[in-house]
Amino acid sequence: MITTPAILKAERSVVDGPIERIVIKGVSKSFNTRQNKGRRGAAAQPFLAVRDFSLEVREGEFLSVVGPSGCGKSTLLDLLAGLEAPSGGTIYLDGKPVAGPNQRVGIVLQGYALFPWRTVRKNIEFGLEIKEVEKKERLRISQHYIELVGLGGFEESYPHELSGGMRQRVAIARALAYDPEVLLMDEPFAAVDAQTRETLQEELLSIWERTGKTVVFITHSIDEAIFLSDRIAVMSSSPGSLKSLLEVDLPRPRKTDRSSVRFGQLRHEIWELIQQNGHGQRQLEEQLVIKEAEELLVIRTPVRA
Amino acid sequence: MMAVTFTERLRRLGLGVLGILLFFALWQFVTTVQLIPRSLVPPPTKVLEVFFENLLAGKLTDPTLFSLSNVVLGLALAIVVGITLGFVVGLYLRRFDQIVLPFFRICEKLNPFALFPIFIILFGIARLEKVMVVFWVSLWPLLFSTVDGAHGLDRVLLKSALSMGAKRGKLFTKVILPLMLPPLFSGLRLSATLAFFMIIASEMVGANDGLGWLYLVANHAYNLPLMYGIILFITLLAIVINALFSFIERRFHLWKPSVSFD
Ligand SMILES: Nc1ncnc2c1ncn2[C@@H]1O[C@H](COP(=O)(O)OP(=O)(O)OP(=O)(O)O)[C@@H](O)[C@H]1O
Ligand SMILES: [Mg+2]
Repeated sequence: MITTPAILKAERSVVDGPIERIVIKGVSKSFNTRQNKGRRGAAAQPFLAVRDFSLEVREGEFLSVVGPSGCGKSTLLDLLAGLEAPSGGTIYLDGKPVAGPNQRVGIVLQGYALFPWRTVRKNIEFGLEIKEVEKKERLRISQHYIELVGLGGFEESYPHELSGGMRQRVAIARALAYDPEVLLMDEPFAAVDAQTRETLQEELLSIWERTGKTVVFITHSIDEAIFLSDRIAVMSSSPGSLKSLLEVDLPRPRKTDRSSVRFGQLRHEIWELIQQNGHGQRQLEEQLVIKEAEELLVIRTPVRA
Repeated sequence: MMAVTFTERLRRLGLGVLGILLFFALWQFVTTVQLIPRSLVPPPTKVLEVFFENLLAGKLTDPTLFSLSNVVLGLALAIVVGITLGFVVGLYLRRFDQIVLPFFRICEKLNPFALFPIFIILFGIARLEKVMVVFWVSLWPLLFSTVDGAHGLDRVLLKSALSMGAKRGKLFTKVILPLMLPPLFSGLRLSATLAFFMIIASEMVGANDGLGWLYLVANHAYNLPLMYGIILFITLLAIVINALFSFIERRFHLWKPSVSFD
């Protein structure tokens, strides 16, 4: 495995300042949704899921994204992974526009998205097979990650024989196994119990520290975001946009910090930011959205058609 | 499907065999005491006797091989055409499927019995026509199950595969094909059953070989025991074909299709 030593990177950033790995520039995404009013009368209704989103993700940074359900977090991740094309704006990976999926970017999708006909081992080896890594090497790597996520003994089990938390761990191991430089994770610890969750958080941090990967991490847990991240992006919904970007100024390691004063302050701050996206404001915004989306669609029609 | 223990399976098999034996016993009884005249329904002992006479004389060999080989040929053709066409329509022609699919649905609904004379005009009454009949009837279940399967492909799994760099060939062989196996097999099984059903029927309309033709010959000779014998034989073959596909299906389904609610 090729890894960038942390020291080397630190030196570089002293010289050049932070390096931007991903640049998201004025990105918006609208979906054509079909209202279920029978096939004929249903016109395609544009729905603006993400609006004018700009953010720079630094090389080697751990960035979390929090926000209310449905605010477009998963959509944002799909855009970053090149699985969806933005309706407006551009995303750059190391200076090049993202035009499609790229093996340098790995994603752990929300839910498990495991291949039901493949065993745990075969699931984890999928990306390696695509990369045409030879069999022996595949076996070595998959075994390493199976043990890392604590699934030793379940190598030959099928996904339907595993618990939710175990499946989630397979998904994490699968994304790690083909060693992408950028790791996108969509609520990867949502289905595991508190204890496993803490273990996995620490495991993830140690992998991140060792490998210097850039991580974009979606979570519903404010505590998790604070514990893990260098920075936290707070999103607001209808349409999804960046509300605020916070620097987490807690020293690492943060194992004992969860009850510290600063931790509490950050927790409160983020909580307030999410709450502000209240209901009174939402209806007004929604009307605005429809207008904007209509405009967007008029401009963008040739692309879609 | 629930896992069935060996003893439970044995018990079910036993009960099934018992039912069949009871049926034959009843048949024997009814014909022996002449509740139904023997000129209409011969007793099963007589049916089996005449049937095995013919079987041992080799009279059934050629017709059976003729019928089965036509099923195999027609089915093979339908597999190639139906699955290919299904993939093309289901995966790549999604824009046009509202034009193409209704047409195919109508083709499927055409009564195949009504088509026999047309097939005979077009292809004669020899092997070619039989293969075409089998091809025609087994094409549609295969085509539609492929299209439905392609439309129902799990988008999240595709996304997941794409994100790991799978493209074209590998995406197809490593993800799309395995995802499609369950619908493909159910289509194939339906087609095979239908094909065997239809080959017999078409051989009774116009043919010079095959089990359906032999049945007709027995009918014209008023050889009732042989007629009943052939009916039993055809049923047995249908059961064997079905069991064969169940076996293949089980072999290929090491995994259970996951039930998802999203
Ligand atoms: N393919 C799609 N077609 C139409 N609408 C979509 C599509 N994908 C997402 N949306 C809509 O975009 C909005 C954002 O969805 P997204 O999944 O990104 O939310 P999220 O922030 O990840 O939510 P959660 O926290 O519940 O996972 C939602 O309102 C959703 O209905
Ligand atoms: Mg989501």
